[in-house]
Amino acid sequence: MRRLLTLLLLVLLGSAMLAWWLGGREPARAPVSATAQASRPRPLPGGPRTFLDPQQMAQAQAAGGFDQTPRSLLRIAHAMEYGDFVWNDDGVPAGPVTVRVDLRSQLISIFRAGHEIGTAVVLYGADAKETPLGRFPILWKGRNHRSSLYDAPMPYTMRLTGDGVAIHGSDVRWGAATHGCIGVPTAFAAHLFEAAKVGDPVTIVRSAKPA
Amino acid sequence: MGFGLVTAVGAPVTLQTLASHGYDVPSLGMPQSLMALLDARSPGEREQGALTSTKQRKIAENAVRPHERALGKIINPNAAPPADLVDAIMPPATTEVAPAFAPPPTLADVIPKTFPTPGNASPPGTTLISPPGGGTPGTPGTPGTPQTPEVPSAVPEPATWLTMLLGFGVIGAAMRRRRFAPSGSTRLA
Repeated sequence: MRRLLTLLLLVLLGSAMLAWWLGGREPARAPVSATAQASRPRPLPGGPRTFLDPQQMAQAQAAGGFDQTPRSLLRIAHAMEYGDFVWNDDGVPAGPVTVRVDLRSQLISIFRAGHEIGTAVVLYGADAKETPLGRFPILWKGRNHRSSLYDAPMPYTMRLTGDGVAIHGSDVRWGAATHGCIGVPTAFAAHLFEAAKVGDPVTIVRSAKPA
Repeated sequence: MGFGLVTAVGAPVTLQTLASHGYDVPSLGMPQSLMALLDARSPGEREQGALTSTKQRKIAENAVRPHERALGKIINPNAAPPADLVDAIMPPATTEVAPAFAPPPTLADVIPKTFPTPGNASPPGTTLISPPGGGTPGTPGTPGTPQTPEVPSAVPEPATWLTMLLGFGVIGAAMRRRRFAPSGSTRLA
């Protein structure tokens, strides 16, 4: 009995110290996501899709960044503005989820089973803090994450690298850049957070400028 | 483009059905490449002036805050400790200057007198541990060379915490052993 009590006390002490060390990392609140959604909830109407022909699928191989062969794209009538996004997975079957980010065109595309289910305009790293290019499986997901490095709320964080580069919700607007992260509209980040799981690949490319 | 034409000719009914459902069917009228499709929705490349950072570094806001989590008192290692503190802890060696008042009798004064065996002089400062043959009576122990005083931190550091925890564990183990060992021996006997 006493032995059990001592063990319990030790475990309690240990966990208290652990909590003290890790304390203040993640307060469970997300006030900014609410304000961001209130300030700019602008999902474009998700229109019908554009099915790709084999030639266009072959172009995807050359363009790079497509972790699965795209079979259809969301049809978007006009150029999107900062803060715009489209999410439409109606009728899209379940399947592997991959994410492609193109820094040149400032776009993110989410594919499921070959079909694009979401796209948005992104923010990326400033010139002094460049976003790394490459293929990054999602390492960790945090719904109400708060950055300990920048003391800033980062709702719907999907971490890509060990040193903190992530996809997260932010106020996507003209003139803004990040410290290396991929910033997407918060409402879009919520969709992506639900669709993607840890391990799903995110490929960040800077595509060649069209001739 | 060619594939689109072939597809359009090959399965007109299916394509018409698709088109009637609002799907976009690749055909001669839409010869866009994949990248052109994606670029059409892009806001364009980021402009040169658009490099504003969105957030401030936490360190920059309060630059004097140290990185350590548990540091009770900030001690600048370069700054010399206050002079009166040094004097209080470690009085300077005043061997040359004779004190104006008579110093009170110390242990060094008392103990050699109880064993008054004169002999060769021992180095000063080793009055208590000196062999009975040594020790000149009446010479007070000179204080050692003054060193920089070590000011302990108010909050124990993690290493200290761990050491304390380890010590508690050792004490607990010793107590347990002491309590349980007699009962075991009596059971054996």
